[in-house]
Order: sequence, then C-alpha cells, then structure tokens
Amino acid sequence: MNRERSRTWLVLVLAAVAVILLLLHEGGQLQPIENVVNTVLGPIERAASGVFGGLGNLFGAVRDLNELRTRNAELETENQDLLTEIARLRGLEGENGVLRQLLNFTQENPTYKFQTAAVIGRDPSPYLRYVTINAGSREGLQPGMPVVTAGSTLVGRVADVGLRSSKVQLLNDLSSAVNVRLQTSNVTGLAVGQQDGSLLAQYLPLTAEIAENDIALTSGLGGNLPRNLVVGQVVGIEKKDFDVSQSAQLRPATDYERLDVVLVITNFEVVGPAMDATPEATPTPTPVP
Amino acid sequence: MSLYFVIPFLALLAIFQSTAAPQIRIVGGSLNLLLLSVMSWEQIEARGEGYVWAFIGGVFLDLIGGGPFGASILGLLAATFVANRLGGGLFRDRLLLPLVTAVAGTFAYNGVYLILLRIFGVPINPVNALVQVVLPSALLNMLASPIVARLMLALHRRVKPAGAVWQ
Repeated sequence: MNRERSRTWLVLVLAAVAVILLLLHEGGQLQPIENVVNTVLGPIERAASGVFGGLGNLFGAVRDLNELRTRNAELETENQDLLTEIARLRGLEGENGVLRQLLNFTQENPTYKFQTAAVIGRDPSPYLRYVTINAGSREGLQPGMPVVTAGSTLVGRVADVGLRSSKVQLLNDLSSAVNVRLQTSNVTGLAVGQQDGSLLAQYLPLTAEIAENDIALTSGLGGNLPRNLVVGQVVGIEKKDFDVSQSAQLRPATDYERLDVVLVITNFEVVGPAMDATPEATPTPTPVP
Repeated sequence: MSLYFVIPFLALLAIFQSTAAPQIRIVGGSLNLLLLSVMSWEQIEARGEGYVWAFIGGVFLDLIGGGPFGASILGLLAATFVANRLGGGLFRDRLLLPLVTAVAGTFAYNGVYLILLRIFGVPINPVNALVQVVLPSALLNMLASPIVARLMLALHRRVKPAGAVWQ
C-alpha cells in the first residue's frame, strides 16, 4: 500500500517537473543549460550520424541497385526495339530507293506498260538461273515478256507463267541468248550466259575494234526484245587468229543475286520467235589477265 | 510416316532450297538439305520409304525450278538408291556413313541431273560443272550431313519409337 502510494506521488512529481521545464523552455530560461548539453552531445551525434548514415546509404544503394537493374533492363529492351526499328526503316529506305528508280524508268518510257513484281524465290538448281516473281497470268503476264530493272537494265525474260507467279530466265542462264549491240563500236553479237554467272558476247566481227568498258545494249534484232536496254559492260576481249569472230566478256549491268523488285514490260509485241535459240556449249573461257 | 506430315515437310525443305540455300554457296555449289534428308531417311527406315520421299521432294523442286520437270525427281531417286546401297552394310560406322553418303549421293544426284540437262539442250560444260558445282556441293553436304542425320534419327524416334536404328 505504501509502495503504491509512493509510486503515485513519484509520477505526479515528475509530471509536475515536466510541466515546469516546459514553461521554463517556453520562457527561454532553459537556453543556457540547453546550449551546454548540445555542445556535449553534438560531436557524439555527428559521429553516430556518420555511422548510421553509411548503413543507410548501403541499404539505399542496394535499393537503388535493384531499381537501376530494372531500369537498365528496360533501357536495353527499348534499345533493342529501336535498333530493330532502325534496321526496318533502313530496309524500307533501300526499297524506296529502288522503287523510285523503277518509277523514273517507267516515266521515261511512257509507251510501255509495266507490271511490278517482287522476286520471291530462286531456282534451287545451281546450274540454272531463274527467279520466281509474284506476278502471273492474273496480272497479264505471258511467256517471252521482257523483264527489266532500274536504269533500263534488262534482267531476263518470262519463261513460265502461273496464275499468280512466274519464272523469269535471267540473262546469265546457260540457255539464254540475247542479240546485243556494243554502243561505241556499233557491232552486233549474241550475249549468252556462262556457267560462272557472267555473260559472253559472241560472234562479234573479227575486224571490229572493241574497247573495254563499252556498253552492250539490246539490238532489237529478231524483234523479241525492245532496243537499247542495257545488258552489260565489256570487261575483257577474246580474239584468236584462227577464229572467224571474236568474243567479249561482259559484266552484267545488275547483280542478279540481289534482285528484289523488277518490272515486266507487258505490252511489248514480239515480232520474231519468243525465245532465241539455245546456244551450243562454249568451251571454258580463258580468264582475261 | 504419314503423308500429311511428309508432304509439308518436304515442301518446306524445297522452299528452303529456293530461298535460303542460294545464299549459302561455295563457288557455285550449294547445300542441299532435301537431298540429305531423303538419303538419311532411307538409311534409317530402310523399307523404301526414302524413294517416296525422293519422288515427292523432287516434284516440289521441279515445280519451283526452271529446269526440265523430272530431273530433280530422277536425281533424288538415284541418290536414294546410292544411300540404300551404302547403308546396306558397306559402312557400319555411324560417323562415317553420313559423310560418305553425302558425297556419293551428291555425285549421283548431280550426275543424273547434268545428263538430263544435256539431253534437254542446256549447254553445260561437265568439267566446269564438276569443279564449280559438284565438288563444292559435296563438301557443303558432307559438312552438314552428321547434323542432318542426327536430326532425322531423332525425328524417326519421335514418329516410330520402336524401330529407330541405323541400317
């Protein structure tokens, strides 16, 4: 009982002291004592802050590290998406360039009608040089129609026609033969495909002066191709004394391995036979030094 | 194996030959996955099913290509015959068999194909063809043959678990 009463009195006294201190603090009378206490406690407080602050930074760093990792992953994903988009746009840019060139060609040749087609496949045989395009009889294609690409370059001729696709025989196919005229020397010959993918202009007059870099154009002889379509460029001359004619190695005017989009001339009227005769096998050409 | 699977499978391989395979070339030779798959299947199945595959695969190749129709069919049948003979006991070594089959089958396929091209008037030089096409193709096919053989074996085990062994 006494102990309980003592405790009660203690609580009341301490509460009263607290109230008194509160009143003194509000009145400013405790300031000198507070200054002394703060002067002593200050350094201790700073040291403790340094220790516990480092721990806090550590926890903060761990927390930040996770956030940084998440953000890094997001940025990497976004970067990958952007790279993919850049690649796609570059592809479109290239395609746009090709289509613009084709458009220029059609505008420069207003008398012809064209059907645009994309190359969707190549001949699986390594001996034959055909490509498959996504236009067929439904688009008005017929065998023998000339196929060109940008820059008035002849690529080949339509060989087989399906409903929605066709096979185009490229100029450098072994069975292909096109009447050509060399632009500078003005001589005519027959450009045939070679096994290595190049072209050989045969049956050129032996007395003709043929220069390298001369341009081979379609001559129009035979009536099965338009005139003045670019076939290739002379890169070498073969001339033997005992021959009755000379030949010229031609570099094709376009890279047949990179054909994407072509134009089929649909209103050219063939006068002669649709396809030239298959040339005989030629001996292995001697490389020109 | 059901034709419902075989036909689309071989069609896909033929499309691969016309789209991706021309990009994988050494000189003029190219990889022929359809040829390797057909020969491997004949050696695994050993009941003539490879010949059916060769026929169907050849039809797809000839439909896609511009050569004489039937040339790929006959070439693949010849290669399958060679695979059948080789797998019949000449080589028991499972490592060596796909390699030898790839080389021999490539020569058989291209040999028949070239003969038919000449018959149909394509002016092809056999020496050039051998050096520029056949030999590089044989090399590419030989390099790919172990992988194709293992894949075909795995396919066979999946389809016919009871009898998947080499001849």
